[in-house]
Amino acid sequence: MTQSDSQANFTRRDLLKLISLVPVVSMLQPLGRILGNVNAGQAPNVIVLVFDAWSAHDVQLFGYPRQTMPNLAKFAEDAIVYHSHYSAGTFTVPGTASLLTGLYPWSHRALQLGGGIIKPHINHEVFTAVQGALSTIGYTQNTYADVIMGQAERYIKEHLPTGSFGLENEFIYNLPIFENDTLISYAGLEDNIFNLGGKGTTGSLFVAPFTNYWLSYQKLRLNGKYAKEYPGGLPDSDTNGVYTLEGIVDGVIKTLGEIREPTFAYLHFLPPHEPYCPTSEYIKAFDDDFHPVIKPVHPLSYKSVDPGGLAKRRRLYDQYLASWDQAAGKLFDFLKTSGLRDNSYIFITADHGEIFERGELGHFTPLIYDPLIHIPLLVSQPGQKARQDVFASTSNVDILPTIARLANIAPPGWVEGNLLPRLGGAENPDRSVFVIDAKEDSSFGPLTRFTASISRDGFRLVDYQYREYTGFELYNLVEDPEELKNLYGANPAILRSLKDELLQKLADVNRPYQKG
Amino acid sequence: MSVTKLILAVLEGFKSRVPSSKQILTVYSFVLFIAAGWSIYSFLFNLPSSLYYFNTFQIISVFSYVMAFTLFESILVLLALVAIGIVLPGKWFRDCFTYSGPLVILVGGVASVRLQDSMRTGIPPLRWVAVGALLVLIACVVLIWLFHKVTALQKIFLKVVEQFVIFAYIYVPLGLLGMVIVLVRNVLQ
Repeated sequence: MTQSDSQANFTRRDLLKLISLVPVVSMLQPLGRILGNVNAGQAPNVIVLVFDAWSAHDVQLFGYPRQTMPNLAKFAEDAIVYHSHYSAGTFTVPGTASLLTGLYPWSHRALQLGGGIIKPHINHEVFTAVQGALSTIGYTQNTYADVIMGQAERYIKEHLPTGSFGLENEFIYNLPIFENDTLISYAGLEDNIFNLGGKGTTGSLFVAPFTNYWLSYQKLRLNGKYAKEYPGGLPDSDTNGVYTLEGIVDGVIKTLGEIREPTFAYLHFLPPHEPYCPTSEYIKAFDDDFHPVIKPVHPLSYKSVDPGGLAKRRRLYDQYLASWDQAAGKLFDFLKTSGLRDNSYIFITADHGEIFERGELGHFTPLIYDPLIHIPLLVSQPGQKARQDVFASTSNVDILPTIARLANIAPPGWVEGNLLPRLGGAENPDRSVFVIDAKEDSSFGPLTRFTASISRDGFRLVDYQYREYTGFELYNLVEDPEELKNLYGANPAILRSLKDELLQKLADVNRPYQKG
Repeated sequence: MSVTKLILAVLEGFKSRVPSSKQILTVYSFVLFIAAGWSIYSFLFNLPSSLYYFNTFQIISVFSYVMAFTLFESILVLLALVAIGIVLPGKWFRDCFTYSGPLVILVGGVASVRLQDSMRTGIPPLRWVAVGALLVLIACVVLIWLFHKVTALQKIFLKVVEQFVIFAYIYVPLGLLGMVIVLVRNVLQ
């Protein structure tokens, strides 16, 4: 058959047949996208999912008696589970800054609410570290985390505003014009002018009080609208308005679905951070016989809540955690069905924990105890088909060097963390892990009013240095995981080496700030 | 009458309803003094904690945002007062703009502080705010009427208000400088 014969045989009927295939081709596009994800180049994606104020102490995967997170447990079946992972900070600012920089708070100096990373480390974020190897996406609902992330703005290809997937997106510092100056625009406009998240007066006498009232009123209206799904009120991110758990999960699924090139995505969700707002399905959950151990009120406790009050708040937190797990389950399923789990490293972790003991609740406290710093870490490797467990101590300063390695980049010289075991690093039982809280100190001076801890060989030494309370506490985490028996006075053999190492470390980090 | 003439006539009528430039300057200075005074007070309240994590240049930058916003806010408030002057009969508001404007600002400022205070513990119901707005309106009407009738009171108040013009020469340049710094930080970085 000659070419002219074949052209002659191509009839109008054939043309119509071809046209009829157009809808089929368009239907295949989503499949193509999924396949595109699976085969998107040589380098795998790195996706970091951060849940805010999420303590390992309230997750059954780490030994909690309540079944708060069944979907997470399912995710863990094909992931590495780190059982002794710690945040270097006790609240969002130092915790997130350590996660993003691979530095301890005494180095990055983001110590106070509203503070940021100091100039010498401003470009030492993970977004900088993966430049050239991975495209970058940054999203957080937490304003304080957003401000820190925004300090590396020029290295974030797609920086989603904090209110992106909420029911309101109300704050002015989120406007694109301020994206190069998030730290200062936030301080100027939010802290000093609108003060939307605060309870004090605003710095604007004629505009802010009325806009704030209007926005609060809208919030009330939305709470009424969603009262059936959220009987205790909608989850609220203060400055960025109210949201639904499903809404933020759907938004993130859409964002991840649009990945077209090897990407590093940092996705920092606010739940289960307070206010704890369980859905109607879980609002009566955990009416059980679980009774947390009652511990003495610490002299530095800000709130001094009675044990009954603490147990009540903890149950509410667990209910919210279960609600969040249900919503997050949809995201975990998407990661599997979209093929992203086959070509991505997926980290699931927290910025810090949450405490419900010793009179203290929440996380804004000078105390350092396990519930506040012991956070979950799960890492799913591309195509992983079995669970692996790591029991050696790890810190969130290890995340950055590990991500760099996974992106085939040498870990940057500035980091203070190590490679995570099973991801290039080895389990080291002698590893020292530090935690610092110095929210009463200046970022530009030596640490003088702080809490610092060192954990090693199954022991934790905590150093409290405040005007109203000074002293050391030592706990055997293996024999006394509830940290009830302070061994400092008993002077065990390990005390000397832990104390020497901690004090030496503090002296080293303070040296550049000492006068003269 | 042609359309052009009609437009010119409307504009002429509109112009005659706008307070004079001297009146506007006096009132604007007062508005700016109150708005900037409150913003600076709030800034100074937050300053001690800022010193823990911001260096001097960063603090100046934060102050720039505050002053730039205050300039914008004061213009917005002035425009609202001028609009009231245009809408209401001249005798009620425009003719006595130099003291009626500041009186509205004073009453509005007190109401704003009260609203902020009530929002510390929760969101006051809309009914409460509506009653508050009505009280503000009544207070403004009564005070303007009182100042209208009692000339001595009017004279003393005007004497005081006129002193605030000096602040316009301080806060306007500060606001403009703040705007420049904000622009440089966001556009040129």
